[in-house]
Amino acid sequence: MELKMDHYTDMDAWKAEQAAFLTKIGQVVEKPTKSKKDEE
Amino acid sequence: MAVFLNNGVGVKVNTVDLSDHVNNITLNRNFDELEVTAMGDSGHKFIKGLEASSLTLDFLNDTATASVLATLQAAWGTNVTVVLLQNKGTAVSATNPLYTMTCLVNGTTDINGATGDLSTQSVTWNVSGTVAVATTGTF
Repeated sequence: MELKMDHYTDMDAWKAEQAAFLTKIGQVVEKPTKSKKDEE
Repeated sequence: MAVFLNNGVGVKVNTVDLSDHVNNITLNRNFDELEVTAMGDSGHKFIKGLEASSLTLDFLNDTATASVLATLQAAWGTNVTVVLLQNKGTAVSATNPLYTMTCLVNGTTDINGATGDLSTQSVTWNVSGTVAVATTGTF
């Protein structure tokens, strides 16, 4: 078995899992974080 | 790279930037250890189980709109997104990764302290799911 060297997260999969969790517990899925800089 | 002063950490709770009201942060990245010791082994052996991370934040209380107390009171009892960045003033990169997690907001101490004290609160929240570590994205 090879050691997994890339320890960073697959964000698409992570976001999908979190959204599924929030939906499951009846919480509204939050909008993506937007910084003031993004809004300008 | 070099050692650094830990005064640049960014903290967002439920999209609200509370960095300037936080003076201590500990992200505990833990997982359950499952014992797999078997016949013939001469010592305990373990493998990684489910992630069981938590986050401790020390806040300087503030009653202003969209500040510490309002944000925590609104989030209390719910799972909210928390974002951490080691150096808020620097772009997200491999040397400044973005930590994103969903935390169950619990254990707030809205009213806390003795006469003469600064109003503060220290909270520890369990992470629902896993802590995501990314080298791209925005704080």
